[in-house]
Amino acid sequence: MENPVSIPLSAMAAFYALLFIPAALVWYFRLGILRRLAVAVVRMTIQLTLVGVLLIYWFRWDNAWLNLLWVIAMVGFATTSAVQSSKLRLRAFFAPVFLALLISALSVLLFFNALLLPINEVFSAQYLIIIGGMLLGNALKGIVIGLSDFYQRLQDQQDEYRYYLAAGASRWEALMPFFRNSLQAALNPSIASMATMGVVFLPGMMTGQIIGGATPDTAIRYQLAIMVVIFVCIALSVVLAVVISLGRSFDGYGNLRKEVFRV
Amino acid sequence: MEIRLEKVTVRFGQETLFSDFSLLLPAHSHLLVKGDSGSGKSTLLKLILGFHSPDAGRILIGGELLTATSIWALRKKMAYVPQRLPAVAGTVKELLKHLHDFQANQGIPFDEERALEYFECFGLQAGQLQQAVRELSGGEQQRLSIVSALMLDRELLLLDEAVSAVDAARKSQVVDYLTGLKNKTLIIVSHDQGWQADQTLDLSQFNS
Repeated sequence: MENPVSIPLSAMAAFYALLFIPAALVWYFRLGILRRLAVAVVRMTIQLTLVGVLLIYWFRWDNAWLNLLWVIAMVGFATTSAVQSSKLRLRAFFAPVFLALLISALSVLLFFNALLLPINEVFSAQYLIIIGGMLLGNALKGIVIGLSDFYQRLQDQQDEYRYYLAAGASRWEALMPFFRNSLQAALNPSIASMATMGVVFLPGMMTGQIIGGATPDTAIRYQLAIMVVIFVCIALSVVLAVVISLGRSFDGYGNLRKEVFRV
Repeated sequence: MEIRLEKVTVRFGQETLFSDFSLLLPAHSHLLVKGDSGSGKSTLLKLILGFHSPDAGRILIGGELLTATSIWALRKKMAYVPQRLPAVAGTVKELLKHLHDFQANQGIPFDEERALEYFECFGLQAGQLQQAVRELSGGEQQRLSIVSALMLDRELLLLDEAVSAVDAARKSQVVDYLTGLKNKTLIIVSHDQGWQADQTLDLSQFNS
C-alpha cells in the first residue's frame, strides 16, 4: 500500500471555499447561525492546527507519562464540554463526570492497547492518544445524552419518582426507571450505528486507515475492535457518571436538588 | 399512628405559608384538610412525606422525629394517594407488582386475588389489570391509586384530592370505604363533601 497523498495548501483553500455553499444557504434561509458557523470553523481550524503541532512533538518525545498527561487533559476538556452541553451545573458535575470518563476510558483504552501491542508500547502516543481521543469523543456524546435524559426526565416527571418514594422505594429503586431510560437513550445511537456500519456508511477510522495505506482487512479488524471498545466505554461512562453524580444531586430525603441545573 | 407538627414554619421565597403551625392527630383518627387553593393543603402532605422541609419547627410521626435519616423507615409506614397518578408506562398489573417489588415491601408480596377484591369493591373491572395505566380515565386512575395504597397495608394514608375525578355514583362508595378504615390514620385533603372525619382543619385560617 502507498502512503497517503498529502493535501497542498491550495487544495485546502479549495475545500474551505466549499463552505460558502452552506454559509449561503444559512444566510438565504435566515437561520441565524452564520456567526456560530464562522466561529466553529475558525475554532476547529485553530484547535486542530495547534493539536497537530503539539502531536508532532508528543510523537517525537513519545514519553509514557506525557502521553498519559495528554489523555487526562483530554478527559478534562471532554468533561467540561459534556457538562456544559447537558445544561447541568459544572461545579456540581465536573468531578463525577471527570471520574466516570477517566475510569471508563482509561480502563478500556489500556485493555485495547494491551491486547494489540507489546507491553512496552501500551503507553505509546500513536495508540494511547489517538485511540483515547476516539473513545473520549464517543463517551462524551453518550454522557451528554445519558445525563441530560436522566436529570431532565427526573425533573419533568418528579411526581412519578416521588410516587415510588412514597410507596417505600429506596432512592435507587425509585430512580431505576429513569436510569434505564437514560442508558437506553445513550446507547441507542451506537447500536443503530453498529447495525448500519458498512452498509450505510464507511466509518471514519477505517476510511482513514485505508487512505493511510493499511489493507482493507487490517482496517476492518481495527474498526470492529474499536466499535466494540467504544460501545463498552459509552456504557461504562454513562453508568458511572449517573451513579457517581447521585451523591451530590439529592438531599437526605431523596429530593432532587434544584441547584443541579444551570439557570 | 400519631402525627404531630410543632411550630412549623414554611416559606416560599418572601412568602410565608405557615407560621408556627401546630397540629396533633392521634393514632387511628381521620383528619379532613380544607382550604383555598394555595393555602398549603398539598404542602402539608409533602411535609409529612419528606418532600418539603420546614424552615422551622418539628414533625413527629408515630413519636419519631422526621429527619433525613428517619424518613426512609417512616415512608414504609405511609401510603400516598396523589390527585393524579403519574403517567407511568406499563399495565395496571405491572405497576401494582412494581410497588410490591421494592425492598421495603418484600413482606407483602403482590396478591392478585386481593387486588381483584379491591377492584370489585371500587368498581374496576378484572380485565383492567392488563390495561395500560395511561389508558385509564382520571377516575379509574384515582381508584387504582387508592387500591395500590390499600394493598401496601400502611398505618397512615395520605389522600390528596383522591376522589376528585371519580364519578358521583362511585364517589360515595369509595369515600364510605375509606372512612370506614378505623384502624388507620387518615389525612384527607379534599374539597368534596361527604367525608366524615374526626377533625377538620381549614388551612386558610393559618395562612399569614
